Amino acid sequence: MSDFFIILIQAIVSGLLMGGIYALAAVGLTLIFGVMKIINFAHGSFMMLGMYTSYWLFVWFGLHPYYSLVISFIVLFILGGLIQRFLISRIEHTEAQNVLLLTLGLSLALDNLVAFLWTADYRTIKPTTFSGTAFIGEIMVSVPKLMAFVLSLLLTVGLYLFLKKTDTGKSIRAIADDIEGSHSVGINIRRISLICFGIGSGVIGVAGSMITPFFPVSPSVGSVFVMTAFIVVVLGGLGSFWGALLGGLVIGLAESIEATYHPGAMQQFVTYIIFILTLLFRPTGFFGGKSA
Amino acid sequence: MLKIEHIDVFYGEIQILSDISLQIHQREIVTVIGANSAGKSTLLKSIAGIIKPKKGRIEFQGKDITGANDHEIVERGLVRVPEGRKLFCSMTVLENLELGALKGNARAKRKESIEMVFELFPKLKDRKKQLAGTLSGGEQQMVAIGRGLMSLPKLLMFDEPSLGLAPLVVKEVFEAIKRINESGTTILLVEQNVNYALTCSARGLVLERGKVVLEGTAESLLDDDRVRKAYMGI
Repeated sequence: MSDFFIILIQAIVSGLLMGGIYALAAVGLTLIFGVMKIINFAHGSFMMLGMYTSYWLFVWFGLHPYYSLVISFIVLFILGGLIQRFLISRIEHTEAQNVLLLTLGLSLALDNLVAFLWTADYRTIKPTTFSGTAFIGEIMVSVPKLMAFVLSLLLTVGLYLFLKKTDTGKSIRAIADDIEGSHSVGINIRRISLICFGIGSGVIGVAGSMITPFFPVSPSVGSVFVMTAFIVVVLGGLGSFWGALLGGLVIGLAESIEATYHPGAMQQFVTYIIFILTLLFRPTGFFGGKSA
Repeated sequence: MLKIEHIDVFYGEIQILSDISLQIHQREIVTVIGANSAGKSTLLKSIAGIIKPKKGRIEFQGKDITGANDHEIVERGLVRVPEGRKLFCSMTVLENLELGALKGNARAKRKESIEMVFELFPKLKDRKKQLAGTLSGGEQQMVAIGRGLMSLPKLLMFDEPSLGLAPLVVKEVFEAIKRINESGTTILLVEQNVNYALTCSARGLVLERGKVVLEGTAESLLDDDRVRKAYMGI
């Protein structure tokens, strides 16, 4: 195979893997922002907390992040639930910017609290299993990134089925659709909102755990992902898990191809160009207007 | 069955209902009529637990439900079909109906109840996979009524079920309400379509600026000059 094709295929493979990680960062946000319309700027900080959970459990007990992601889910489910119940639910029905400011403040507080507790150092772990790089022909595939990619597919399918098939999932969609209708059928709106925010937060914790084997942990790591996650959710069409997956892959691919042929700092530029063009020509996103 | 004693209801500082009392007996159809902003919807919302009365007491089947949560009230079998239908528009007809039966006995009997709704409104059976938002107004009202029935209500409250519907469809909706009543469900109706509503009711009351100004059997209200002038344009 000629070098040209090898480089192109490598760029595509790396792009898809990175896209899977973006999608992973976005699925939880699809639930919170896409479905429930809560602008959660602390989303990246929740991911950071998921990463630290897995980091410390690995350092202290040697627990592989693929096991500790269960604990990340529980920790962030509880934290998200508490934040929804005691902070967000108080101002949910006021103007949208209040929630934005609240969660932005929350993210600053969390990032700085973590920096205070564990310093701003970049930390890495090197698990011995599911690590390294596999070669398919001449194409390099990072094993932990592949695992993250697979998990993002599983989570997408899982959350899609959860929203489609379960009573709780249907209640979440009902609340997003019509709040008065939800009252009239006797949905316990407080409880369902809490569960929804908890699951969305738990899933981003899992995403944090999943990338810990190959992404350095630091207090500000969330900011790398939070904007991309919002872009991916809007790009895919609010509330669509398949859209978020596709959005993540598109951004990952575009960045990777751009970085391969124009090394430098143009990746983000490409992301925003795609974002702006999508908003101009298809403002509802790839899967906008369809449910889930 | 339902007993309301001297309730006062406020939106913020503004008093919407003052000193409302009302009793509904098992298997009755009772209609509340009144102009816009007389407080009819507020009355239903207060009964459903969405707004809490500041004063007074609401009793359902001998139990005090004043201040109970809306979802608890639905579970007790006191269900409201809201004004403007308030369907889950991006969900299918079937999903809308399923959401009517979330708890307890209603959840257990969900499948049978869906069949019962399709029997009442055969049109909906063909449309069960369609998104509720794409239905005609009449069909949407049928879904809203069906969704209310899915909770296996003992008392079903309707808020303006004929609003925005073609005359032929209005007739269909009222026939459905009558059939629901005949199968044993008590009904509280709020309507602008006074003629239809009172014709199928046993009793009625007239609400004006948050107060009950007139009360009586349906026939006596239909014959009342004030009712005829103010609400029927005769």
